[in-house]
Amino acid sequence: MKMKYVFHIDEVIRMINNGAILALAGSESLLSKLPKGKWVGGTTPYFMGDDGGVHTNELIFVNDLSDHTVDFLIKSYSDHTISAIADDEFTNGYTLLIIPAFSTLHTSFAENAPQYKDIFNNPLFGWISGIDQKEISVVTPKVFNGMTGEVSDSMAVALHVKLEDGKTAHLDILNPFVKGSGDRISFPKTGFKVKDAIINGESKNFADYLIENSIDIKLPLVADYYGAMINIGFQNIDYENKEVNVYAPVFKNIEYAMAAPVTNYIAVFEASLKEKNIHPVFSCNCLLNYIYAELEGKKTGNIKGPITFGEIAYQLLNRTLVYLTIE
Amino acid sequence: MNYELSDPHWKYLVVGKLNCKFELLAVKLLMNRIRVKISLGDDEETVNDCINEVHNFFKKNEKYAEKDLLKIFEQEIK
Repeated sequence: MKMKYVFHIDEVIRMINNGAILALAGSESLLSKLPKGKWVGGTTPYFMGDDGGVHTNELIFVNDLSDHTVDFLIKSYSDHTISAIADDEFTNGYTLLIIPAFSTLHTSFAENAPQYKDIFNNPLFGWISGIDQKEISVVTPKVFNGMTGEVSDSMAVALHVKLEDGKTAHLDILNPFVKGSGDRISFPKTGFKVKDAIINGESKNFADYLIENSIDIKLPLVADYYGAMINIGFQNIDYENKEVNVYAPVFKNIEYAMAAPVTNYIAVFEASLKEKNIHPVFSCNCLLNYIYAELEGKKTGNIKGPITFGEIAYQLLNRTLVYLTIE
Repeated sequence: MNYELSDPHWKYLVVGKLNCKFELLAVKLLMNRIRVKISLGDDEETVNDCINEVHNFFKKNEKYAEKDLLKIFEQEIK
């Protein structure tokens, strides 16, 4: 049976009132109208919906996570409490985390999550909530704690799920990008604003390097984490301050390279999907992939989910599809 | 877990002497964290901390990470 994921608000209200455990994505105006219940949500007007990529303020994307769930906890986290998130996880389960973009917590999580205690012990995934591109600097992205009714542009919200015995959550990523064969790049400092880089062993201003070499910053930087390709998406080059802004922090002591060009994003994507034969209960993909690969109105296999300002799979990712399956 | 903390495979793994192609994302990211830690200092205390961290992960996830665990222990220690 073909599953439906995108709903009108009246249908979502019915699901909440029926006691379903939901993860929601939609505009702030819609999510604000929902009753309290067993749900978490984040703002974005972009989804991979039932009929492909869509940009709408009229519909809500719904992941109904009730199946196989025997217990759950919905909890908000501040900048000071997020590092202990693994303490709240169920032994056999998963955690879905939504963080508002541009918040202090967004930065802090991005820079520090790989060092959090026990962070890899249970599948922890989710996304960075966003806004319509036209509204950046006008409104802030939000997250919603449906249990308490709390709406926040500074706190994160998590749905911790305990799975029934015999079921296991499996978290993975699908990344169309691999390291290119060009220069090896590292950075003396961790952060979202990059001034200095080490290019093939030599120090250089990173903005100068990108400009002088006509680097296509629509492609991400890529690092190889034991076979997992981890991207850093470019936001812009600040010519005045000779600084490069990125959507996920570059890390000190990691070697990067510019990604090899991807000529047909959807074809690469579908080939990977076919090889893996996945049927996710949750997935999300990056707004930059949506924009650069022109995904509006197009499908990416059977993958549906929010289009985000950053993806989470244990740590902040960019330009990557994150998915969870229950096996 | 059958693989005791004292088994030399753990030390070989954290100091980068075993070349495993892991399957689980969690293991890949964990091992990257270990690689960075060791690159900053491979003194005995750091190595032991890393061994404990990796051992704890596999102990807690023995079934889930079974394939990756086997990849570590099927390797010959020289």
